[in-house]
Amino acid sequence: MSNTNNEISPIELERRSYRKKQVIKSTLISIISLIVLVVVIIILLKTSAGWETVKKSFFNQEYFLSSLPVVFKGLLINIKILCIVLVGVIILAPTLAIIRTSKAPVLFPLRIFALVFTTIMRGTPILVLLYLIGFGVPGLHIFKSTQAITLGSIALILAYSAFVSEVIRSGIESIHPSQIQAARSLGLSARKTMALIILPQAIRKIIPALMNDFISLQKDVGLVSVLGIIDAVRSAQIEVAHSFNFTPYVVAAFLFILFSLPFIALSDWYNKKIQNREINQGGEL
Amino acid sequence: MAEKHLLEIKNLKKSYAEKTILDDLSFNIDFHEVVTVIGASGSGKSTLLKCINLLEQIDDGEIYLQGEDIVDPSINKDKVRSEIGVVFQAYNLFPHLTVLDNVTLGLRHIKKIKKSEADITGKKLLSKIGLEEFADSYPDRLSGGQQQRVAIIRAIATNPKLLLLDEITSALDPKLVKDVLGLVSDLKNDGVTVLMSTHEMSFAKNVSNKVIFLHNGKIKEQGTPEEIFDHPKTQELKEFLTNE
Repeated sequence: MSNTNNEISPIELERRSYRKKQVIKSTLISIISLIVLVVVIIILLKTSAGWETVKKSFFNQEYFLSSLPVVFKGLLINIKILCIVLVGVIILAPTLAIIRTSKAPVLFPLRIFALVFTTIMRGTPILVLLYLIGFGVPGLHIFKSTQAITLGSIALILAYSAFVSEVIRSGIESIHPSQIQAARSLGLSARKTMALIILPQAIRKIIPALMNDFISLQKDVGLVSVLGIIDAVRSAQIEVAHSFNFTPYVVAAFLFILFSLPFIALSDWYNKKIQNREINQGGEL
Repeated sequence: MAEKHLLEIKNLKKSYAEKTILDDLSFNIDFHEVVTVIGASGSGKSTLLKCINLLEQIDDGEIYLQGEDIVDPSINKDKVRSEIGVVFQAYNLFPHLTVLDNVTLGLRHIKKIKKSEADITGKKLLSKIGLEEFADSYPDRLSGGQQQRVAIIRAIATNPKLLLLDEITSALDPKLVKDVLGLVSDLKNDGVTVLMSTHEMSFAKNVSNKVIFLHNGKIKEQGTPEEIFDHPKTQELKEFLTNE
């Protein structure tokens, strides 16, 4: 069978219609299963004995609207702390990572320090760290006055720098040694090799992981409420204490989620972009 | 001392742990010469080139580049390396930089030439190998042979005194090998001094001024291409040539 013109052969037409049917079939299946799932959850909730009580104390529209501005004001404090922590982590984490990956004998004591630091900080629950720094440091009476926001930020910077530095370190170590050799053989110094060749490639590889850490940090800033800072969580807590209704907590959760959505979308978009780039490359080479 | 030779190597020794890799090598490279090192895998060819580029520390011996002792521990290694261009077997280009930025990296960050000027030089070099249209592409858009040619012009962009080529065609398929070797011949005509290791025997015969045969870390024979390929003296070289 041969067709010299642009006409599509009957067998290909058959294949295409088969594929189309398959797509329709699988789309239908997924839509139906989603609807079934949602209906089951709704029925389970509605028929549970305590649903009416839970609905009243957690999803009360009146309390939702009344506490929204107060909790939102608190969220601004969280955002402020997030910015401070971000700056701190951006400075401290790469420094730790570079110390950990360096091989210079002079840096040996620093390397040991960085190892101990990252081990302790990654092992300690952030809540405990917040208590230790938030209540322990003022007890030392070294500084005249220390704001809770500053101390809370420091605790988060220490904890997250340890995590992020390990991510960066893994990125640095994932760069093939031949890249370093190629750079050094051009006559680039060790420092320039790090700055121009290794770090840019490493950062590119770890951006998805870093974005994930950022989203995680975004909600962990809510933990500073234990130091008495009137952030979103604390504001919600105060509202709850007034009304004995838990809806403000849901408001806080709602605001935190809302705030994280753009970053989650950004992270998804970037991952997709990288994936596409790699697929395209694979096709071309 | 009169600078008779561009590169002078005397009694070079190198071993890893207990294994001797380079055993008492001595040879010279004159200006504008192409010298080829041949020998079986593991005969020490790559290690020799890495020692000259100071990527490996030698155990004993002397290396002079234009009369300057480059294995003196107090020497500025980065400066020496910038005077010796190197192209390895693979993974030479930096994937996060465009082809043009790869070529101009040394000009900008070692020779401290302004970006605008370096770009002009870089594009001129790229057009020499017919790849100027890829200036703004990333290396992964190029074939292996194109990548190696870019790596070669990147190595010569800063006008190094000596160019080291370490089996630059062994990761390529035969069709691409031709292009890369053609560029090396062009460089010879331009007067670039080259020390290369290769498995391309007919190419080595055509392009070299001098051939060195390494066997188990020792120089078994060295001489003109005719002496090495047409009149091998030692049994080892005869066997090596029949096997290649």
